[in-house]
Amino acid sequence: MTYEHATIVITATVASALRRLAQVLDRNETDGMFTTALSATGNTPATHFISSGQVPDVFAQAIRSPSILHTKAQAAFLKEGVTYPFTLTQVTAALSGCSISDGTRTVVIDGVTTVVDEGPHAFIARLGLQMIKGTL
Amino acid sequence: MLRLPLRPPLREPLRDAFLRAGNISQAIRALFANNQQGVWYDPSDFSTLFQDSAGATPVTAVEQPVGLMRDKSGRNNHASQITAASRPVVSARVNLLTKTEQFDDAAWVKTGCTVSANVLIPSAVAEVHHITQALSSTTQGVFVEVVVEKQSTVDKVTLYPGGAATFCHFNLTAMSMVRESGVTSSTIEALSGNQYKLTAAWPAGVAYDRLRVYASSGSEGASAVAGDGTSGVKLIRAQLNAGTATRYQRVNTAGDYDTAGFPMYLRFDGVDDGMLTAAVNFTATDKMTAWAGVRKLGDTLGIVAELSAGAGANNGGFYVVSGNDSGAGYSTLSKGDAAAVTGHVGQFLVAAPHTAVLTAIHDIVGDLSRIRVNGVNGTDGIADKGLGNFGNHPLFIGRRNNVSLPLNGNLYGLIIRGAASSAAEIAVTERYVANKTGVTL
Repeated sequence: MTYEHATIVITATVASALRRLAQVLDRNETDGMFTTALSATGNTPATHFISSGQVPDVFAQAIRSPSILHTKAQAAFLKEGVTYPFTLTQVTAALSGCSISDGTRTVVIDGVTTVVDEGPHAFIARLGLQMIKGTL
Repeated sequence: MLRLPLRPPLREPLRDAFLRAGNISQAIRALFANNQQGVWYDPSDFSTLFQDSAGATPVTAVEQPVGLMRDKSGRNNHASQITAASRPVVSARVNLLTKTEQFDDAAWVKTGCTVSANVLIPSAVAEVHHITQALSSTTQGVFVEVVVEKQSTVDKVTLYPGGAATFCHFNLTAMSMVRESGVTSSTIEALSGNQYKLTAAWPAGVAYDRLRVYASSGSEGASAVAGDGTSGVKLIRAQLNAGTATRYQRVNTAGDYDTAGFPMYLRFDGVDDGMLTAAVNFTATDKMTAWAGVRKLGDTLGIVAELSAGAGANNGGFYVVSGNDSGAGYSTLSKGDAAAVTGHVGQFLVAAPHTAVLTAIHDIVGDLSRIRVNGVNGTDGIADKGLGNFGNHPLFIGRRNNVSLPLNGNLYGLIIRGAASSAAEIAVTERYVANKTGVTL
């Protein structure tokens, strides 16, 4: 298994479907994603969810391509003997609202384009979102 | 309510002998020698770390994810994370720059100068001459150390991390410095071979997004004075720390850097990273001692470790957290069958970024929750905790119940012992964790 960094922000409206897809795609690697809630104000209700970290490169590739995700998910559901509940159109629509970062960002300094690291918190802020804070 | 007196620690000659002999690792093992329940996690011991949760792929290098961390206490309370994106990463990185000894690399953007054999050569044009490495923006205080070698009349150097009024000017010939108002401190030290170590520190609260090194033969490094096109100042090495200065760490790339002698830690991203164990059966005791080496990078509430899915709601749980409802500090809580109240919480206020050896001491029947930070007691929680022992709950690390309150920080080690610990045991374990964390007690 090889991994690559990805920070993935999805909309709340498709969170349930993408959690289910990720769960069945690889129960030992991508089950349990998209549980951290975001919103523009930092208050509930959540408008987005995020996962960030090292993900299998197969998943990183799939989440960027509706057709690859659709094909791989369909095969995974079939392997488990479960009816695949989504169409390619639905998967395409779900991914259309996703924002994905590889952990870097291109900036221009003194007229020179350069790449800098960008952590998930900076990425969230750039999207105009905040994590919804919890309490003890 | 009937109260039992606190029992004095049992005398255990064998353990005391270990402590006297200074064999710290043996002393840590001895914490569990009498079947005490608990955990001992050591991120610096790669033999205990695996990239996947099943333990099939060992961790072999820094910057790899940790999906399984084996317990060294002998109780087999291994911690794991099945979700790849939620696995912390093992790291020893302290210098935020890359190519720290290779200034001709593209990571350093050249303006009004060239760099040849690491010599920054100002152009023959009356303009500023500098190299810049861009960083992910941080509002923590930053510390910079740059070593240069004077080779010519290009003997002025200026350091700039971004922000306003933050220039720090050095004159290598005069051994003098001029700091703008946004610079906290600076030093210049002559080394051998015409080399000079320049350091500067800037306070928290400003957005720093770069390290820029100017050089000039003018009145200061940032002067727009033409060079001769051939003379310059040699750059030896550069370091930038967030928060606190450390010794120099050579960094080539994000995954290739010096690790020898640098504390290893698990980096929790403050978004969704965490680990958990199966249920750990602490039902035989109402006493608990926990030690953790932690660097908190922010003051948003985050779980360091928590027994149960929520210690405030579950009898026989406890937590150690970074940040609190007041915005800063560390706190710890445990309780028996009483409803959770603020008075159960032991706390210590200190703002991020902060590196600490935390010791949490709990006694349910004795109504005590205490947190020690780098050997200093905080304010105790002494409200009535009710009765009962600790529970048979999973242990969560870095995140509550694997879903909320993510820790934004580093974990250098974690030891939890289901027993009261003597002053000597606490002291020697604090020393052990301090050594792992890079803290001097």
